[in-house]
Amino acid sequence: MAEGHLISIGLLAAMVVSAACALAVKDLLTAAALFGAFSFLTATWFALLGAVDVAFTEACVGGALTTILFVSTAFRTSRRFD
Amino acid sequence: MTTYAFAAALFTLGIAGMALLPNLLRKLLAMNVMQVAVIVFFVSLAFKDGATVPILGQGGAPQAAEFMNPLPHTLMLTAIVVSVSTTGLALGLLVRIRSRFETLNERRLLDKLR
Amino acid sequence: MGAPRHGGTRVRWLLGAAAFPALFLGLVLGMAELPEFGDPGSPASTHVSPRFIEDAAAETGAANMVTAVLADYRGYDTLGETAVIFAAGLGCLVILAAAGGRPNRPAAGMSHPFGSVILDAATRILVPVVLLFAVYVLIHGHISPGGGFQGGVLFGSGLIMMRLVWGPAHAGDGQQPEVPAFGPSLRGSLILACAGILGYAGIGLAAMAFGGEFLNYGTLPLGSDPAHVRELATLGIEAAVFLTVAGTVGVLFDTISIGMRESGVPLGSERGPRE
Repeated sequence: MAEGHLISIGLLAAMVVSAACALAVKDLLTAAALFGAFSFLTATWFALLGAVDVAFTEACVGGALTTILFVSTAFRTSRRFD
Repeated sequence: MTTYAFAAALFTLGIAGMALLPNLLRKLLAMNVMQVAVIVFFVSLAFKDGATVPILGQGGAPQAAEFMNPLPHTLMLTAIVVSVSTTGLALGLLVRIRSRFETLNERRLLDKLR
Repeated sequence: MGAPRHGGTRVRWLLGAAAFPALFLGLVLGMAELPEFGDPGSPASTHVSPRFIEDAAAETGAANMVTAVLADYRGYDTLGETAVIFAAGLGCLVILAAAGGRPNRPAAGMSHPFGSVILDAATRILVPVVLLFAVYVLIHGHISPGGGFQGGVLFGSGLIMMRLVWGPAHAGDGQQPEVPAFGPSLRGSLILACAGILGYAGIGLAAMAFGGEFLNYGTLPLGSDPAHVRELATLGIEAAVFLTVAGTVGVLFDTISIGMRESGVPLGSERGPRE
């Protein structure tokens, strides 16, 4: 996989856009879901780079655990960012 | 080079979010984005043209040029798991702050602390 | 982005915001000096890692070089990382479940089973598969992607899935969930995590007891082939990491979602999410 490929550029651009959206939205549940999407895109990018172990970890941790922890914090505090 | 530029963009996004967003939970999300940017950078450094995943298949003696660099992969694997534990610790702190001060907004927190 | 309130704050906010494009430019300029992306002759790829790539399988018996580096060559480093994870779980427990605390009423929305037939049936089918796959990932860490960290996170996620759908293991206030929750309690998760970190250090000390250095597994009396001995010890290390990570994940989720009561003052908002 060479660097200039459309798929790598597209993935990286989608990562930046989803991260920016996760930081921009006002609702914590939406932000957590977008952060999960960002993590899965990152995991795909790691798999493309041949880092299968890192991709596996990022998919488990970022896609599932971090999102779950943020959502349970949303239930404990407030769903809206004040 | 474009990969490094994208990693720099993610890092800048994360650190700008940490500095400029007023809500502590969003600051934590921004910190996570920043961590992922660093991990993306390290994993990009481990990539070699024409190499495969660092798992030995059948065949003769492995040559260094045939496999990706496993060292950054190892470091980043542990870094990801450590980052989720520290995120959990930070979320615990935020739950306590919220229950004590009824807000997670930085400015209102500073007003209440004054 | 945040809404500034006063004129002076607005000027400072704009000045601060202008610093970040400059940071981005500086980072990109600095990265221009780095070796080309994918260059096999870059310093990072020619110094330490060729040794790992060429000798790992023969020396440690692990086809997955990441596992070999993680659990064997850099075992001391991984012990520190595992300790950090354990400490984060302990810290969360101390912050949210202060000394002498009793279980708080779970936050609204997490206190009772959701009661959906589809969710219940899907969880019954999925959870055993997830837990079994976690153990598979742990055991096959030598020869395929995976290992203790991933397996532990998967195992913890499977336990969390049950808690999410069937309610917490110990709801407090005498309310038992309709479906008896399966899985370790908060204390059980903590014991798992402790067992993991102690087992890790114990394997390292056992290597010392048999005449090697700390975490140098070659001296353990597990067989005559040193590579095979190291392979077995690596599996033990991965199992210890698995226990620590799974236990810490359980502790983090339980403390954040259920919480504790400290000397009569309920911690965490009793209110549910504001709609």
